[in-house]
Amino acid sequence: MDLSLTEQEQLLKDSVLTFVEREATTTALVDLQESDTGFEAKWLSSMADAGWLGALVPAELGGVGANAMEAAIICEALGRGPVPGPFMMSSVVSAAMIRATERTPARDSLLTAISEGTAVVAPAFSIPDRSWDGLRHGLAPTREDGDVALAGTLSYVPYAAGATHLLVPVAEGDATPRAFAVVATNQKGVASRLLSGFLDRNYEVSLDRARLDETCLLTIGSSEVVQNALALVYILLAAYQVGGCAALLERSVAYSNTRVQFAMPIGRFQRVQDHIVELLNAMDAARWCTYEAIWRFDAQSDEDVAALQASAHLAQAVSSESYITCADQAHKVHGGIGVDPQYGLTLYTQQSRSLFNFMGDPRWHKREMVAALAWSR
Amino acid sequence: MDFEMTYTPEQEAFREEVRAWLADNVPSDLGAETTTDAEAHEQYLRRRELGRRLGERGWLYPSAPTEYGGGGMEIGAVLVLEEEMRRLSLGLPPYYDSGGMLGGATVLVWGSDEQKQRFLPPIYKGEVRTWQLLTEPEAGSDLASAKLAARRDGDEFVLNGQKIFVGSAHGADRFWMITCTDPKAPRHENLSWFMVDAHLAGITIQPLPVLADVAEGHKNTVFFDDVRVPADCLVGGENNGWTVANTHLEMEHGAIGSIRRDSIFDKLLDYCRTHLLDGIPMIRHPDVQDRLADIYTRLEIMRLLTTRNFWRSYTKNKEGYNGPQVTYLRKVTGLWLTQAVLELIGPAALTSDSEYGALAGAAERQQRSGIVDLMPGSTIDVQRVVISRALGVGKRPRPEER
Repeated sequence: MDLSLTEQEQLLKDSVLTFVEREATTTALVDLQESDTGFEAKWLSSMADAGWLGALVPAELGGVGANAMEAAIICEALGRGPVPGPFMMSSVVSAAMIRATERTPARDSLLTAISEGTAVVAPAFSIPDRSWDGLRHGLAPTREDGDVALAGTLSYVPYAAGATHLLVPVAEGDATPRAFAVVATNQKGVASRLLSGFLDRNYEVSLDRARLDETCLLTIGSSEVVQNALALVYILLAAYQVGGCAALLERSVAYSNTRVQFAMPIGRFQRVQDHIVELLNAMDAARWCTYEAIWRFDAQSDEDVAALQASAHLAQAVSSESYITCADQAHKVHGGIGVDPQYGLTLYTQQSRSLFNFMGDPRWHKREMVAALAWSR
Repeated sequence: MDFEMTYTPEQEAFREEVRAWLADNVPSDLGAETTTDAEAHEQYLRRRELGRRLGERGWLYPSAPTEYGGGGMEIGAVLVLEEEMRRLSLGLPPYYDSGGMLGGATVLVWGSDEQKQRFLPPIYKGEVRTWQLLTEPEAGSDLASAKLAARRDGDEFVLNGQKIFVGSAHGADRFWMITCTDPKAPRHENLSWFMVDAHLAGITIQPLPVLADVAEGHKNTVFFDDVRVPADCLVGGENNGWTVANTHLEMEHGAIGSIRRDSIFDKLLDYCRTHLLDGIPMIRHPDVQDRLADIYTRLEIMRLLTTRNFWRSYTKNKEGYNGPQVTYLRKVTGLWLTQAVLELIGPAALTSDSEYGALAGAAERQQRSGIVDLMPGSTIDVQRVVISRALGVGKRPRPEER
């Protein structure tokens, strides 16, 4: 048993945190909220140079081929920002799923482009009026002059505006998707519309007979491969959420020690302390469920596939719940200043809500956990 | 990271040695539940006997220093011993010995050399059973307001007063206790600790039943009526008791951690698999699965944080808030579990009836212990304060801010 980071892992963590502190300041992140794409394009090259964008891309394709622990360290540190945008969606969610497709030149070059930051691929997995069920729904393709054409709507596509491509599951009727379509966002027949409000950058994307050649269809591997890729995505999303929880704790402790009311720091008041204790407990719950899942992923063997699946769903369920708890408690500590968008606390609040349902809400993940543990058999 | 506990060949060899010794020395029914008071008392005496035999080998208090009768063993070997005892449904020590555990460790820090030689070997060798006596009717969470009087009279102190929620069934040999040695002195400068012979004249022990069968059956009220205690039983300096208390309380508030799972979940799952509801096994009902999933989730969080604490103890890398956090969460999770189990299996969780009672009585016991366990070792409100301090929340304001 060893629950510490290795020296290498600690160095990686420090380097990502240094980036977050230097570049992703609260002011910078608040400004980004008003930008066209919601993320800072110039960060792409530094994140590519550092190897983070290619964390999940195999080394032979120009990536780093990181294990889950290394990828999680990057995610947790970026979650502290919280650094929005392409890293989580393109380099984690999309890259993990593309990795789970059969090798073709188009697939390999797309993964290389993700690691270089020249491609940003938004996962477009959400089909209107369909519940998330672990990638079991897709858009139905049609054929036009030998090309594949896609028509339909994809709801809640994160960061579509700044993306170069969309990753769209395709399926016949109600069948489970057997392929992803890689759709260039600048091609004819692709339109996106920003969903306004509290939600983080999400778009409705409409495909109006968007035509693709055959190489843009990536065949999804076996069910085991897909389940494994999804488990990694759930775990890394959880790590990103843990980073947000940790930042909320630090900010709340710091604020409670500096904000003076009734002639003393508000942290002297036990009711304020109560909020911080609840925040701490939620953070540690998410953190340690996630860390164990990371370890299971990296140490997995064929016998404990079910244990890994259960652990990944547990981590995602607990982290989604915890992120909201941490944000709520932080607001209780901060009072009025916390709801000033310039102050930056709401960046986390927004993420905590926006990620709650993304690729499955906690109840769904717990049900999948129950299925993996085979309680009813 | 690696969450799997692995043992060295030396530790595995030690496990074989322990297992063989326990097989020879522990009667198979020693970990069993008892039904009558007479049975319980007889079992207690047999557990004390086992304690003495473990003590001879340094296995009763395996991590305590050998010079005082402990085992001087590293934490991995201690874990092996605890695991092997648990296989037989026994703890280490195999009887309630709160004053031995916390008092012994505090004497190690605060006792004089002579006191360590006098007090510690009997504890670590299992010759005495020691209770801790802290709470009084008017001193609960506010331990510093303890009033049990210890008045100096020559070479002795004369003790008068009352302690409550003390000990267990079957009596004790020693009391590790906090007293007020100067009622006129300022708060925090008036307390002293004693290791007291529990058989001295003037001591009366009165059973104090509580809702759950804690500590071998019940707690006690202990009355002190002109009890004369030799002055050399005062540990840590006269009126220095609050400082000494911090050593004691830090251990009591903390949770050293373990890598155990709470066995109640497997029992609940088994119950839901083997009992029918509306004609089908309970486990087939989606709402039953949801409720079980919520319980599993809370218990997994507890397991993981307890594992974290174990590892921090194991590597001597403690982080201030970890101990009280786990103690706090164990309490609130236990209380939460009472309602969650009630929702899951209904009134069968509330009865110990041999036909209706769920989990062979374990569910009904949890309904009571989940409430009672909120209190020992300090309330959840005190735990929150301890956690906050450890986090550095609520620092005293700097002078210019006052």
